[in-house]
Amino acid sequence: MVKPQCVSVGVFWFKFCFGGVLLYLCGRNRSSMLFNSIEFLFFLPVVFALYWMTAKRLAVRNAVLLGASCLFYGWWDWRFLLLIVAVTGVSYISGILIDRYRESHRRMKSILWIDVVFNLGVLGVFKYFDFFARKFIILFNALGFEADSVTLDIILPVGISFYTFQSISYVIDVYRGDIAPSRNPLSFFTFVAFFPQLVAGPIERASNLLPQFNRLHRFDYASAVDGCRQMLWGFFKKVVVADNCAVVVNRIFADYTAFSGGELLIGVALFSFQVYGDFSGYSDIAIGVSRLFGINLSRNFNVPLFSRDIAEFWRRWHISLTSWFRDYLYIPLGGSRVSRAKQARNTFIVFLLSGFWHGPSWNYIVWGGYHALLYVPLQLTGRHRRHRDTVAHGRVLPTAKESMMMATTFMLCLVGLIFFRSHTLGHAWAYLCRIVTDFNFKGMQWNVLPYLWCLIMLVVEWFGRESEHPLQFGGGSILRYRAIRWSIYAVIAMLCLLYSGAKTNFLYFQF
Amino acid sequence: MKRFLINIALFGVVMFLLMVGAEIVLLHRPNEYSYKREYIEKNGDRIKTLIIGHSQASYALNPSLMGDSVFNFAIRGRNLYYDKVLLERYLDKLPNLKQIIMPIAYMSAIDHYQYGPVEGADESFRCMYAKYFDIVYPGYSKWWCWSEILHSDENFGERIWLRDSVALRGNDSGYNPFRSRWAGWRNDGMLPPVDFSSPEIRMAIKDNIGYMRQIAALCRNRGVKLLLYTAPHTKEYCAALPPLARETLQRAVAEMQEVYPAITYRDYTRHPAFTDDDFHDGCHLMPSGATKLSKLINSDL
Repeated sequence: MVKPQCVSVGVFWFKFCFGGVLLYLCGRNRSSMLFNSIEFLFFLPVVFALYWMTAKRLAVRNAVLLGASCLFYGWWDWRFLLLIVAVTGVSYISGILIDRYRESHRRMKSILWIDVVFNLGVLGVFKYFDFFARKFIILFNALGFEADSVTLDIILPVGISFYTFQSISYVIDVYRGDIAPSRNPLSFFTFVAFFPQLVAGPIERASNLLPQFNRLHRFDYASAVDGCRQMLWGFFKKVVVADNCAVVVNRIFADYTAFSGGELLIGVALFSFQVYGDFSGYSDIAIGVSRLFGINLSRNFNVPLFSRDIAEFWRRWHISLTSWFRDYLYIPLGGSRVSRAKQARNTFIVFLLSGFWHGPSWNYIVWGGYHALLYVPLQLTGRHRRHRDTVAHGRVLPTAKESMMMATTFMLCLVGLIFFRSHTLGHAWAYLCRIVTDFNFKGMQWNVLPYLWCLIMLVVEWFGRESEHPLQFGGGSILRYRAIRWSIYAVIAMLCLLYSGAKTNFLYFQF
Repeated sequence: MKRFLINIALFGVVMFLLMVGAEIVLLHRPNEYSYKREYIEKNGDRIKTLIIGHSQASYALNPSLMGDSVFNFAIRGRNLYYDKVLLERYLDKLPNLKQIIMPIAYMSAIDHYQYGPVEGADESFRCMYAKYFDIVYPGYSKWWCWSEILHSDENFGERIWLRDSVALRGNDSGYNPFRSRWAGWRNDGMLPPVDFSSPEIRMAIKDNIGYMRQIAALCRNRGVKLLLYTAPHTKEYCAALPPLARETLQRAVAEMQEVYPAITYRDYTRHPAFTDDDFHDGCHLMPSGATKLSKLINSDL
């Protein structure tokens, strides 16, 4: 891949502002426009200005957002915009047709299935074809047949798992009559392609997001400022916590045999902070950016690291995906209205598919299955809804029991994450065995910084666990002084600038 | 909206001032680039042997084991373009220079900021050379590259707080030893997967061999000896090395010798003197390995 070339400011602006955008994109195979890239630093203010300049005309405003979304996505590879157009177009037409044939249940159902099969087909071809092709070849060869390789080495379009799921949920909601179909192609395309959440979620429901593209917004100062704070915290989690942890994690997982069990345990613990910092950081930035445009996205993480059991963890981790599977798979399969055995079966199906959603690998399936194994006993004993409030609600510190529960849940999650991060099942199993059989910290090198960043993240999130994000300060105490608040923001921003780790893609781009 | 824009602008000003402050602090903190420039400009007449190149020289050759008038001018990650430009600039300012030592790595011919296979570090190097050597990479503006915080991947935290100047800029003679290595060191520093037939890599090789020929011509015209060497590599690195990488390296050496037949070339790739303990990763040396290599090259001089 040709590396992104940093051009001088003048040349950049010329290309950016004067219509050479498509030609510019066509000529280069760029990397994604990351939130933590200089390109995005220019991109966001331009889109913000254009958006609010045109805010009084709905169509123009949506056109600005759609154009910005296309540019944002096309920065990575403009050809895959056609895929988004296809997915969006089919779902848009399906929604209208379902509404037209509402009298005929059979027709409605047929259209729904066509749309679902199309979306899953696109996902299957681009994400899973190679995986299944390889497995079939192995199977045929094992049965004594000769099978040639038919894999295509297809490039995985960034964000495909997110926007296909979003499109499917829209059509199902229309089918169920929960929402009216969109008859405005511009707002519908903007809903699917909205750039802050296009490539890594949150997977939005049409009932929440679509109406926001159908009404005019007034600029809300408080919301925009809070969005900036949330972005800032997201950047800290991504570039300071996740990217610094990634350096250690990548080394340890590249050759786990060279490390002691203690180091391997530290490695997977750091990976848990990396994946959390990376993905929740992305979600925070996406939500914050959206709020600058007066658009509210759903919350995707709710301090999952402070969960007291696995059920609570799944109510707090990647909420938009978990609720998607709950609403469009678990409940249609019978939900909690069926027998205990069927509930357990349905839970297993949901977790296995949720694992498989992350990628075509047995590791993700085992990760999903492992979480199902932890979840089902709680479900069958009716204890999966015990912890619906925030831990240590109204108190500063948790009780000893709560601490033990959080630590246990965290450790259980770490076991799953070994499978999530490893390249193969054998690798994961050997990694796990080595932690148990060779547990010592001999020869360990302590670069204290990644641990310090993780600790800061945990402490700040602990104290902000009852709010939407930890920088959502209340009016009380010394934080009512602007100078104090700005000092905090400035320190966080400087940490992002001075202590950012190696710049990496967001992990969830690969899903 | 107005209030929001004013607050954002004010905060932007605060951040800008903080960044400028941090940039000024960084500008005055020791680093390899500023130290080596200052040294060569002040002590040019004392240098008889100059070591140029990248990490396979800066971490691998200790001038204190090679005589009094040797200076290690190499800096990690430097590509051949900068070596060529630096020689063009400084060769005439080193009146007593007798020889130049230069590593030629398997990466050398393919390492290219525009076409090369390694992503990420190019911004950083462009920034550091623009800021500390006034060398602006073709097609870039110095002011665009100037901010270290925005472009460089140097460890700013260490740069600001660390008091150990040797750790920040190397020792007085320019040698910058590794201090430790990871348990998983064997997997580090390997040649990235490269498609030698791709148009980008062919462009990179073409450009780089052009720079090598120009370096050879500069040495020939100035009457300076040029010793090329390939640093020791681990057996794992060698095993993973594609045949085309070896061929490309040999071709590069041959092309340089075509321009300047007096070039000496030493290949230490699998030299028996080096054991696993001497390596920092697949192609870089720990201080024990650097001592061995410095002595070996010194005996060859």
